[in-house]
Amino acid sequence: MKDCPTPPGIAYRLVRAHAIAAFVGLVLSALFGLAVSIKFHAPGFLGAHGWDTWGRLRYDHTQGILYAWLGNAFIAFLYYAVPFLTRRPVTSPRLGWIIFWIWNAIAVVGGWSLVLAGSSQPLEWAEFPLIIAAVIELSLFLLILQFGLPFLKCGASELYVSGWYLLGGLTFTFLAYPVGNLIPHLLPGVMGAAFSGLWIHDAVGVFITPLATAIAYFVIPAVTRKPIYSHFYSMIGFWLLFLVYPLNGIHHYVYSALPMSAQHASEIASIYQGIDVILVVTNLLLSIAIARDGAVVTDIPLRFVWTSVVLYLIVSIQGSVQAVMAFNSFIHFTDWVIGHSHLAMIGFASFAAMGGLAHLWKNIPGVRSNRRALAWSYWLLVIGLGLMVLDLTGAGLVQADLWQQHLPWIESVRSSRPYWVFRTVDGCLLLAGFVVFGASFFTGELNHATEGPSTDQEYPAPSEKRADLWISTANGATFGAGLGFFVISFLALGVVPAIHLHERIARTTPAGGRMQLTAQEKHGQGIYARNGCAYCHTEQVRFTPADEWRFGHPTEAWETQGEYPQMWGTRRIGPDLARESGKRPKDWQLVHLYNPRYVVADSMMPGYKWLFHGDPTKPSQDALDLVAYLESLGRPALQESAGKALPPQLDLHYLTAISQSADDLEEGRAVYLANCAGCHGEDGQATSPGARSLRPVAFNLAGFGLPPDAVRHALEYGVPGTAMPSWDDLPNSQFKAVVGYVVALSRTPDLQPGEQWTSTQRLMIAGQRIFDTHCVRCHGATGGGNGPEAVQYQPRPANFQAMRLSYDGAARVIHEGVPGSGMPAWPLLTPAETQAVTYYMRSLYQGPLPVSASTSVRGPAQPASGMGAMQ
Amino acid sequence: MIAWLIGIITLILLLLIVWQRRSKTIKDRFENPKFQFLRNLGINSMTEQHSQPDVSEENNHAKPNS
Repeated sequence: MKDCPTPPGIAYRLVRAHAIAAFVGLVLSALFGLAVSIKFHAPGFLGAHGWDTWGRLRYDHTQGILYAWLGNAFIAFLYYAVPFLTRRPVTSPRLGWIIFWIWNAIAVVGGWSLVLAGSSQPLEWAEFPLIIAAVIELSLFLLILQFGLPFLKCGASELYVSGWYLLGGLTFTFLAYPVGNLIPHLLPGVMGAAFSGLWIHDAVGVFITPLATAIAYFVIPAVTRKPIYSHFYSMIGFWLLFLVYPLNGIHHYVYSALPMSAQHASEIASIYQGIDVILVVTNLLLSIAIARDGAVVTDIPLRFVWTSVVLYLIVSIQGSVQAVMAFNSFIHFTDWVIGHSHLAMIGFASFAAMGGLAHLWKNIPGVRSNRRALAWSYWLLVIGLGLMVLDLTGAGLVQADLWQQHLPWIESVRSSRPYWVFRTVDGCLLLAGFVVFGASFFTGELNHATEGPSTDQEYPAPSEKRADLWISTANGATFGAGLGFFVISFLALGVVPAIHLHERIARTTPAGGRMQLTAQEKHGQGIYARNGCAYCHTEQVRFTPADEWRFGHPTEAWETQGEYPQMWGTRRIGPDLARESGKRPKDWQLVHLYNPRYVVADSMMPGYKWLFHGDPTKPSQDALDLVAYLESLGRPALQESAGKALPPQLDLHYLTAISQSADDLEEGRAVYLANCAGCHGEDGQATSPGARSLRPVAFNLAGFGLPPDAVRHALEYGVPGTAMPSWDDLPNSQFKAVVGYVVALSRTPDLQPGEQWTSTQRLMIAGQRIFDTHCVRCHGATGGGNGPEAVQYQPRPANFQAMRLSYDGAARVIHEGVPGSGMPAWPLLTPAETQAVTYYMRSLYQGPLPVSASTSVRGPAQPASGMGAMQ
Repeated sequence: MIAWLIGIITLILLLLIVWQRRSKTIKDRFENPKFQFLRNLGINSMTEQHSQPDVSEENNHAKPNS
């Protein structure tokens, strides 16, 4: 390839400065991403402090890619390309340095630092706090001044398509940026989500895509030395992109409480967008096909660019398909979407930016470039990206399939783990590719080209003499059309849905249903937002069968009117939290927050130990506030449904007689270890720190003989007043196996004659006396858990007719009490008295009820005694 | 509403395509920027195109020196 001639007035130092900032930003952002990826399968990695928790690193990863890497790369390209496109230098090199420092020192470094320090907003592609958002908006304005003025002087009639994309990208981004950053703070919940959706797609559609496409349209003819196939069709593609792309926004929130007309509109626009991309890519590929001197293979910057073009087609078709509601109901919130976004941001945008940077770097005097390293980086990135997209696509399909089945949520986390490990390996390949790419700019041969004329020099535009009515008309029409397209998307997918929603909320809000957060809950909401909780847990139940089965009634618009900003989320790694109120006791939430593995064995959620004073029973005020916020989620809906009759429960688990064969016990142990050992411990004694931190403490299964019906009932319904949830989503075979295992686990041995301090008869007399003195008021005269004071406790006192105590277990409960229940400690009872009262209580046990074949577990409701009562 | 909007704009674009294909003047005007861009890059598109006999129909119909 021949080098370009002496370029006209290029600000080389600014090109170099932004390019170097882009390399640094790319590597740092990738490191943030790698740390986030490692945390998926090693949740204990980092995370001892607030600044290195998963959510904050994730925020810095995506914002770093957007501003530190792509932002700088695009600006470097603009400094190089605009003089070629306009035959004029940029407005002012001094302004350029002001932009450079504002962009990098304040927006990027300041944004990263503030996010790590805990100042951010939970809005996709808008995570930097509002103060940084204001700085970025100012920078965008300055960028328009810097690069837009030369275009205005140049005139529209001879403006090449790259110029249109650059100008359109900067202008549209300046208009759209406040939509995603500011409006969700002003409009609550579902209305804010409509505007968030606009920016989520505009960040990619009107910032990244136009600038990446501009690079492709610039580099291809510059390398092939041939004009593009059709400038006319390139302009059709340009105008369709700016019309249709912003209309895609709401496809991130289909099956939601947003008006269906808006959801369908985004679906149609998404399909239309795919058609537009086919047009653009066909034009670009036909332009590349003109090359006859092998440049497609030998010119590595062009190789980056055409790879980007091909991946643009793939990712766009994929995006269109994902927006189709039938497919979206299956695939949304899974890793499939993460694979899609990596394909877009690396495969399309980053490859284009790399091609652009590598191309311009060859034409900058006094710098080094290493072709071999560049070629290596290409292959590392192609292989790394290909593996990552395949891996995440596979993970997404597995997750989607499991979510459709009636299985515990944790099954999808377990099944994803191998994919997440492999993703880290892919991430290392990508990081290596990025480092080698950066190294290729500082090693290798020195470029001896000379600098062009000064940036202060003006160049007459060849078409200036023809600056007639046609040009001024075209400029006006262009400005009007561009502004019109923005207004159309703003009105159609933002304002109009918001008006409809306002009316619907006013019509459907039940009396007293408006969500009012207390000061504590609001503070907790802020902690939830700043730490990225919404990036793993959605707060919207969609009206899909899978969602409704798992999470209940779909989220309605009126429920969201207290959410500033909305935290609907676009990804589920953990379950949806929109209905969290009343699901779990506070102590479970605290233990889970301290170390999720204490109560959910295979959880990948990071622990938030830095919100505690060294122990799950010693939460900081921040932890308490966060849990208070979690307990507020879905409260209006809970209050609304409080007076309504519950639908009849279905019999879910039909069991034959419990088997105690070795195989069944082995299967039951596997189910137990996967689902129960987190709280009850591997040996069932519930002695782990997490189990002891629950209030009431987790039940010691090995210490109390339980009849099968009590175990079944607790598994089917949970134990009210405790952290024990319902496990009615376990498959029938697993349910049966774990019941059998727990029954076997809780067999209590008899007292050996040598350990008995006195005769059986004396034990009975002494034990009954102690029981009548201290226990009968709660546990009842016959030990049925129905004493006169029993009703005031939740959980209810233990029913000794239905459970058989072990001597060790009873001794511990008597001497320590059960924190969080009505059972106090009785430290003054002597070991002999403890043995006597235990002996007496064991005599009350009436034995397990017979298990008949084909017995339904969901029998008549039992009193909330049983397991929970002993806690 | 969005469907109508997209439909109307598609119709306008189709009319534009037909108009462009029927009028050589308009076609040249639309294609001229790509040649101007090559000249900005210092590439003599006329000479180099003539050395490539199989350039696309779009390019052959364009007016490089306008």
